[in-house]
Amino acid sequence: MASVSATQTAPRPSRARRWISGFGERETRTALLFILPWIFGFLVFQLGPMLFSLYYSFTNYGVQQIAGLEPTKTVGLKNYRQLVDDPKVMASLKNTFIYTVMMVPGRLIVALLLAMLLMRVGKLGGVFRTIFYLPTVTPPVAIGVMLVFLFNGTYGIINRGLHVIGIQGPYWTTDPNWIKPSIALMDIWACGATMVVLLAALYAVPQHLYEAASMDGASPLRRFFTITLPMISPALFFMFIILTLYGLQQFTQSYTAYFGPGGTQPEAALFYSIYLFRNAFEYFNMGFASAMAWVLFAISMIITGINILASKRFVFYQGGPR
Amino acid sequence: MEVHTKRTAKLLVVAAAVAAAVLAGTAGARTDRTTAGTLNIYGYGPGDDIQENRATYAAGQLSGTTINRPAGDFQDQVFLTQLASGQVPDLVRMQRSSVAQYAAKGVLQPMDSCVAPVKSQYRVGALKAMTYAGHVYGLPEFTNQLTLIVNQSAFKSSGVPITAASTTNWKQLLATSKKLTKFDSSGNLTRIGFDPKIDSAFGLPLWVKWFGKDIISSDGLKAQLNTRQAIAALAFTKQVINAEGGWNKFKAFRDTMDFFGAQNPLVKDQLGFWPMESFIYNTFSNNSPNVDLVAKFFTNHKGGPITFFSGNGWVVPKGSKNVDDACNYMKAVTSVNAWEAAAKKRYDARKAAGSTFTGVYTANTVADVKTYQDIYQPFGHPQFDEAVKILVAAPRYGFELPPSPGGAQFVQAYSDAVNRVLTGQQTPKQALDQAQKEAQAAIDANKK
Repeated sequence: MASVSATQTAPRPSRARRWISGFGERETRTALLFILPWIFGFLVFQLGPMLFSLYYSFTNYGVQQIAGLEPTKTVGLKNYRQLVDDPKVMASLKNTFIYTVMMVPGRLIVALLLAMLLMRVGKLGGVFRTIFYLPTVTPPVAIGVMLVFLFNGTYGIINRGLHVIGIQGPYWTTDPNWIKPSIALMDIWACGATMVVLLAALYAVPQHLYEAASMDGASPLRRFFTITLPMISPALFFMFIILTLYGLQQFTQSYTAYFGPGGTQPEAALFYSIYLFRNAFEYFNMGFASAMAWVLFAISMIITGINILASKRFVFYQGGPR
Repeated sequence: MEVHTKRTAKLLVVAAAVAAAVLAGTAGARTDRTTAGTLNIYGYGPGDDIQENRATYAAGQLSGTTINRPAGDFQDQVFLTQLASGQVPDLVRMQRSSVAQYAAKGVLQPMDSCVAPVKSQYRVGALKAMTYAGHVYGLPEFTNQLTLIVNQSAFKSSGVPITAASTTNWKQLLATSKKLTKFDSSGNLTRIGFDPKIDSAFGLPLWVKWFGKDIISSDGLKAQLNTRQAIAALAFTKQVINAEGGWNKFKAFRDTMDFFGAQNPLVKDQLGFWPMESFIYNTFSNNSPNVDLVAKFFTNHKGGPITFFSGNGWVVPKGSKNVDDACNYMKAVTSVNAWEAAAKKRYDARKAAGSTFTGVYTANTVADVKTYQDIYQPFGHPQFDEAVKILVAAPRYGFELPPSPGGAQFVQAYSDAVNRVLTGQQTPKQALDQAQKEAQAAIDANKK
């Protein structure tokens, strides 16, 4: 009885102490050793440069400073103020948002449709999975080059296909109103990785839920909205976050298609990352480019934070709330 | 448990220390790679026969010096990395249009005394592009001069006399463009009559020069993008493109052309005439030696020839450990002897292959004259033989954009303006007013 009483009154170790004592466990140490190469790479190639760029964003860092000809001087918030004054920053940010808003839902919907189709294919599922996944392994540079040919307003295969069904296709690669949709469509085409994640989520939905719903007379549409969507919502949410971050960093396809040698460089395709790259490596405004990078980071974090808050309402976790 | 915790903590401290050491080492890795007797060149990696034969000649002039020429052409990112790491190349070949931008930042060394003894051999326009704030920063290499390439078959089939292939009279030029332009039954372009190339980097400077004006002051410090002449030039070229179906159709069709293959726009009769850089004659003569082309001068409003130059230049960055060899190499590789040796070998190779030699066009006036007089001989393809005569004479009428600290931002400002006009987003005046502000701001921000 006394010992029970002692157990009840002994103070529980604090959370921090428990976390620290976890390092004493053999499994923890082994795990740390295994991830040490990653930690090393993260410190050297990611966190280190990130911290340097944060510092540079408050300096006049440019060619003279890179070459060691002049000292790096702090300029306070000048680079951040310049971001507000530069109309191209806002224009490129607007382009990036519009593209992301088109690409993310488009990719999720197409990937989900393909995944649901694959659920029904049966034996040939592996073949179709491979076929649908192939665009994902196509290098983004190749996608950028293909974009110009596939979406050519006169002779591109997309418009030829549209012509067959009686639709006069737009001038995707020259009309400023259609440049972003064409880039988004190319990215939606490469939805294989999203499809695989959603397919795995669909396989994990317990069949007995569908059987019970069917017995209750639920229509396929009702089953989709009341069972499928809630059950795969964590996977959808995960892909939503990943794709949003990917969209905000869009660079390669647009740069290859429009900003390489001989490219027409339309302002409609000037995404934020491209303008950042230009400032850093073509105009040599490294301090300003660093400030641009941190603003993009902040925007990404804010959007992700909002999504996570919203997820509490829309995402269903089987094991309880996360 | 506590022992384990301490050991693990030590392990983490060691790992962090190693990472920090690598970080510090990376940040401060300013090593002295270059030693005396070694010349590290950047931007002049292994290339075509002309490049390699000149490199061989230049290396022969620097006996006892080890020459490193890593693969690849000049890239700003790579050069910046070299500057940051302290591994500064001794000699660099870059676009002449970039020289002022780097010179204004103090990254390049003035080479006045090095260049002085040979300066008179080089074309004034090209040498001016190597000059900033009164100092010459190196030597120019090639010149890519513009001429009009005329698809004679298109003129014949359209019943238009070849004399109409002229840029002197805008009314006539517009009429000729319309006559040469062809559409299929669906309204799609099958031949562009005249491509003014206004959307290329040389487009606006060339068409403004048509008036005898420039888009930037001769000292490179004052943008002149919204002048009456610039607005008129942009409006006219837009008018030409509109008469040929408008920008969307025009660009979509032009994107399908293969300028560098055997099925080029001349072979496929897709273009009537257009201004283009001189290197294309070499490409055409290799891929389609029997093509029916005529070369003509691009002419100004008075009928006089004008041409726009572009090309590379040789510069020496600050921090070069071997300035003497760098100076000697740049002089040797752009010397009369180097160009002659390379041209002779190309001539012999082309002759042996039964192909055509269309000359080598450089910033060295003496070399060009010698190549033409001593080496060049007609190959029996009259259209290319006639083209060579034009190309040899063209540099006399050449101009380059004056070196400007605005550099890439200046070019971007007017390129964006042209795009906005072609896509119908702005009028020429609105677009060039905006470009003027952007370009001047870039110049002001970057000048010394």
